[in-house]
Amino acid sequence: MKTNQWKVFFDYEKEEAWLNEKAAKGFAMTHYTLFRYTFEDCTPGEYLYRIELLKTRAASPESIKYIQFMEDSGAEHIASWLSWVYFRKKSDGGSFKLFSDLSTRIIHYQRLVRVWLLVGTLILVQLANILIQFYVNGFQDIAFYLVFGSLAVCFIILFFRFLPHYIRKVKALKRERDIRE
Amino acid sequence: MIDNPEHIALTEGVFLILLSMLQPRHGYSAMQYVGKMTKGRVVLGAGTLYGAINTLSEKQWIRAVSESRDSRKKEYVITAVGKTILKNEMARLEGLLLIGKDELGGTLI
Repeated sequence: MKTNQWKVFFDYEKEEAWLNEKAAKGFAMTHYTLFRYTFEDCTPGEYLYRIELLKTRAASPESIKYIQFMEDSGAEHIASWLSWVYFRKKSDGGSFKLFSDLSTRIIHYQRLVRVWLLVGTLILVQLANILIQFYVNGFQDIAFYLVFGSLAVCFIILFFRFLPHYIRKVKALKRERDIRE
Repeated sequence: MIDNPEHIALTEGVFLILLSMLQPRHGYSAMQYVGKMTKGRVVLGAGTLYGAINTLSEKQWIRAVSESRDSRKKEYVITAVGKTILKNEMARLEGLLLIGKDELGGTLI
């Protein structure tokens, strides 16, 4: 049976954990389109899910090559959105890890830092834009305040929560790499 | 080119991938073989393996066996350079092991 569920995640690791919880309960994700997850029934614990942020968009030749490699390694490509890809693998009692060493985990977190930086910059530009409008046209519309306010909140959360979160992870893993592989 | 051969410390993953490619193998087969060699202790992540294969073939420590059109099944094999790296690394590890045994005096082993 197919079921849909709408959900927004900002932290991909929480998203991944959620997908794995669902799979453990017998709901295997089969599709994703902008916040909408489609699940199909499965044997509880049949699948393990992993989410990865690729270097380039999922549809780029480079990414297609990589996804192909993943599929040849026994993983299943479930969905992609921009540069995000969802993989799953039959658990068969084993584990499913995309990265088995510190260096590749560091590279992945660095990618996340770059993405949040980019999103943050875009929001900042937008905020500046609205401020200029305020200045030029005066304070007319309440909608302006709402848009400005919500964008500002997004920006604050992003810059003070997500970005430091991933930067800390990168630092911790690098320290770890200084003393072991 | 062999860069700085006497100081190369390979990662565990790279060491095992090079060993597995003494025979021509494609990615998945290397992954499985590494698991077999280490009795399941080392499970290579496919993402990590993918990056390693690309880097190793750029460095020409391994090379693609045949330029088959179907790149999915591309097999790789270790090169002469790769073998030298592997041998140097084994000598380095052996040396370390000897030092360790000497210093510990066999008491903990």
